[in-house]
Amino acid sequence: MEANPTDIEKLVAGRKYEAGFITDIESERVPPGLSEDVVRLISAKKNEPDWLLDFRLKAYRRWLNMREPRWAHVQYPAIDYQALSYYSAPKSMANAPKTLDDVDPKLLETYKKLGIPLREQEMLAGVQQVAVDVVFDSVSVATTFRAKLAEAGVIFCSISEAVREHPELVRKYLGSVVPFADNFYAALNSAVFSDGSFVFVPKGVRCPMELSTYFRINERNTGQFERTLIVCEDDAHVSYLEGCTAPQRDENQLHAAVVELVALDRAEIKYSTVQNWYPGDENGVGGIYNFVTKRGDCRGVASKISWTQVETGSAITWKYPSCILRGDDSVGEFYSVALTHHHQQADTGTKMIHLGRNTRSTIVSKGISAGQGQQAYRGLVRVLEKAEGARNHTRCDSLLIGDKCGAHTFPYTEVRNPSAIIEHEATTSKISDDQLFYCRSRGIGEEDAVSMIVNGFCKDVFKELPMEFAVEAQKLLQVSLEGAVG
Amino acid sequence: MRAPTSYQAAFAQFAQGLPAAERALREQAFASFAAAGFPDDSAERWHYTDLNKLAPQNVQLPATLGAPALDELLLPGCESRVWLNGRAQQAAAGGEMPSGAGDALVQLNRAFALPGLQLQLAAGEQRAQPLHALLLTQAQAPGEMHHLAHRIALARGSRATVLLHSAGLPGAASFSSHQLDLDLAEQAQLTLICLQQEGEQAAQLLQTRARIGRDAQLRLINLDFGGQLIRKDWQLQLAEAGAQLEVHGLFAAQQRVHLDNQYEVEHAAPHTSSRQLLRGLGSGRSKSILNDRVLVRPGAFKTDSEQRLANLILERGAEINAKPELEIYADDVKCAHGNSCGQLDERAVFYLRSRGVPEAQARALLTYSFADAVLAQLPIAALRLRLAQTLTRQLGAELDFEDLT
Repeated sequence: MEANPTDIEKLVAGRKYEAGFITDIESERVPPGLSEDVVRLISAKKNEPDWLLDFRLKAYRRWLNMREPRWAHVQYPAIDYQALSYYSAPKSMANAPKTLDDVDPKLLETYKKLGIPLREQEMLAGVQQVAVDVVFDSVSVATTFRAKLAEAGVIFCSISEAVREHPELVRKYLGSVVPFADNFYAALNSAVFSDGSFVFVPKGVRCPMELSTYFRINERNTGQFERTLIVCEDDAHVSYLEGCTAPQRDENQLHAAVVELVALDRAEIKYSTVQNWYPGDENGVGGIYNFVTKRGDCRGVASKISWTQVETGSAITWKYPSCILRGDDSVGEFYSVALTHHHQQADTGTKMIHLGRNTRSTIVSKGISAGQGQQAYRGLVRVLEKAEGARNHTRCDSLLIGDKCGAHTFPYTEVRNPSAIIEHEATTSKISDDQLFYCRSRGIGEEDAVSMIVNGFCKDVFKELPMEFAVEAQKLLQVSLEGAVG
Repeated sequence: MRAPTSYQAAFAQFAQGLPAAERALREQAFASFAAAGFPDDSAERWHYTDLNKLAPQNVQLPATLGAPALDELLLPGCESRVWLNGRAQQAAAGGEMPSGAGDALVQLNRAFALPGLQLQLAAGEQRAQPLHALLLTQAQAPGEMHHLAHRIALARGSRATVLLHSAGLPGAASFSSHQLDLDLAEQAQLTLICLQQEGEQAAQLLQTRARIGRDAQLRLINLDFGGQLIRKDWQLQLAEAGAQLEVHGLFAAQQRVHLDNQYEVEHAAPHTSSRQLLRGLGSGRSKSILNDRVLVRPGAFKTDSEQRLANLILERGAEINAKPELEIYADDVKCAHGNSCGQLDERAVFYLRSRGVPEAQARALLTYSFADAVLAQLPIAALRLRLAQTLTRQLGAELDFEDLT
């Protein structure tokens, strides 16, 4: 049975961006352009100590001499870094709100539309308690459940707050996983980062709830540069959820975040992302440029870092959540579902750097391309000379929906130790007509059938997501792929 | 000018005696090379092999030599042709000078190249005997270089088996570059064995472009056993419907060799198929690079491709960088790839030892059986036997292969 391609295109084209709306709030913005003065201004506005300003300036000076990376399998017009505004804060934040009641009702309205259960009573009605540190453009708006976390000894606050309240911790770990000159976008972020989350779980503490941050990019033409830092001391455990949506825009917006994770002896960090930024319209106009550096450092023995990501948004994604397996017996995991649609392009994957003995890593990547989307998995598994007994397994599948999209795989393996065992396998296929026919002959509609098959395809990854995210992720894919049959 | 000065001096000397028309073409090619220089690692294809650092800096034209003893190198049952330091040892079949666009390495080759193997078969012609092209290098002084351009064109329905064999005789450091053009017309069949046994101080660059026509079949067996700096680029295009490609690759990298094989298989038409089986052995302080890219063009429906890469690291200090790439622009295709890297199964070694096989031989035997998946594809039995012996000797154990043939 052959599906009619024009029907498919019609159905695929029918997908609208549900989170597309703009909140009209007066913002305080720095005029477009980047210079040392802007870096100093950002730092001054946030009342930062000198060492942090130095960090920013060093990064900025290095950034000036760096080349924009061009090796990724994505195409976009050159970005004018001088045309962007590097700081934007909703004005109502000038008098920092004490409780949620003080928060601008328009902000709260925005989150309500996105369905973020900000108020604690709403959260209690949910299955599980989730603390949300909401980033609205650049400033953290509200943090919930602080008291309960503080009781356990967990610090969960915005990074600017952490700089004020816990400078010694921030100073010790900031830039220790992603150095300020790591790459072009990380250097840019280090120079102008605005806000983000900071999590510190002390020795032996199991964080009592899942932590969550919703990011939104709202202001026109502002790059958003979050900086997230999560530190787990010995035997500590945390699960962190990051969700992202952004309103509909015509101009492309730049997003260059840096996420650093540090896991000490036997610590475990689970970092989950559902990314649903504006992908641009059917003609490829607009959408977010998402150039992110995410890296976890398994510094201690038997530590574990697990990345799970569901990427359905952004016009361009350039993102490689990585693990440095430094401690002996440490474990790195990467589970990813990435969907590209219309004119979206994604070049995403992971890096597993095996340094310690008996380190293990698992990579499961599922890519779905529809419309004219281009999807690339780019992964690196590197086993250094001293990494005795290192083990990696990589599974990488691509699903093509339609004949104008592309799916690409670039799995780098670099092995320098004879005892390492590295395996990589990959397949590329389309939704088979047989599967589809079978479902339809059982009375399941075409759309539901496709959604079911795609969900099955992604199941290995979804089962790694925390419950509330797994539901959201499935819904996102369903909306994204309505009726798209190959 | 980014090319090292010694290349300029060598070119000036080389160009002196040439006829005006040829000289103009060669000067143009050399100017392009000189302006671009060797590729550096800013391009992803050159990520692991930065020729600016690795390519020989001081080169010169080779001196003329008398014919060496060849008995050990020639193969029974094969028709042979010999080149020594880039000079044909038989009446040279003149080929026309290629011209047009190409990267810096193509231009370098064009500036200096002499005709290498030129094989053209007429429609339906079938060669009974394999053709053994022996490309010998024996450098008297360090930095002696030579360049050859080869071309194999098979007309409709013709068939041939060709062994392109580059071998180094003991001598000084050398540098050679080769351009190989393959053109297979409708239903033509070519088995090409590309055997590299260069000396320990030899740098060799090989660039191959193949066009496989309708229902034509190319079987490529690419074997690397020697050299110091080896870089091979394979651009293999399945240009028309029904084209088939089989690639079997094996490398045994030892000591400090830097060995880089870049395969690019392009499915440009519907109903084409490719099978690739690539195996490698890393020992010593060697660095091996294996990049295997399959590109499926828009509209190349019913493409069927498979890549199987497997490597063994035999000694600490060896490095293998392998990457099976897929780039797919059509949905009704079947593409699979697998890549693994590991070492011998200790249980298998133990089993053999418990049966009285000494450890060195047990390891050699297991390693040989791993490599034999590729060597077994060789259609020339004498060559297979010889390589089996070479390989096991490299592995430090003499095995008896009497029964192999």
